[in-house]
Amino acid sequence: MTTLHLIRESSSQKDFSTYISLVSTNDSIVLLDDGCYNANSHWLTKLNFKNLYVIERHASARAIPLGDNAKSITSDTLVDLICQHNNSITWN
Amino acid sequence: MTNTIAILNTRAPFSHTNAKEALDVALITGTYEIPTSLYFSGDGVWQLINNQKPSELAVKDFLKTFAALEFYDIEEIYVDKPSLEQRGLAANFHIDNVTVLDELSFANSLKQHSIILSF
Repeated sequence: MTTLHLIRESSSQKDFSTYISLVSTNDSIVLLDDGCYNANSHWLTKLNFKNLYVIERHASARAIPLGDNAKSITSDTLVDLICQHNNSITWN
Repeated sequence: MTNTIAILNTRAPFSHTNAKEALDVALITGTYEIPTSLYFSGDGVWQLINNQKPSELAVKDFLKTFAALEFYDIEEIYVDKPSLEQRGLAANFHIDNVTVLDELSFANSLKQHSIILSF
């Protein structure tokens, strides 16, 4: 039972703490759309999630420098990830 | 296994439409007899707190509709205990059959469902 977490918004106006508690070690997290702005944010990097991904095109479009915090993926990889997990939660 | 739906509420009731929309979705899936469970965490716990008076805000009191949930066979209602504690709230809700779960059991229970809609 693993869950795919989708983050599509920057954390500035959001309180993601309630979602953070839903992440288990083997879950995956994907930053897409405005969620890419979180890639280097301290609140996320300090949690050092094992399976953290960012959609490369969404990040480069926003000139977000991608260090080694998150693995860059394409939208096709996202589809594979969706299939590999039992369900998904969008961090609203 | 049959598809079951979990509706995760994380927003307070009145200043955003998330809460009402989540309740509407629950009533719809309930109407179609899709097994539906409700989960409340973060500010979502404010939706269940007793003695609210929405009429004083001139907003539609959709909280009353929570009482109709049981007619839709929606009886699995869970609240995240830490979210209550962080807000200094007691488990005093305006509907009954609410189960308060600690953080881990809340997460595990939520993630059993095939579809999770977050509001």
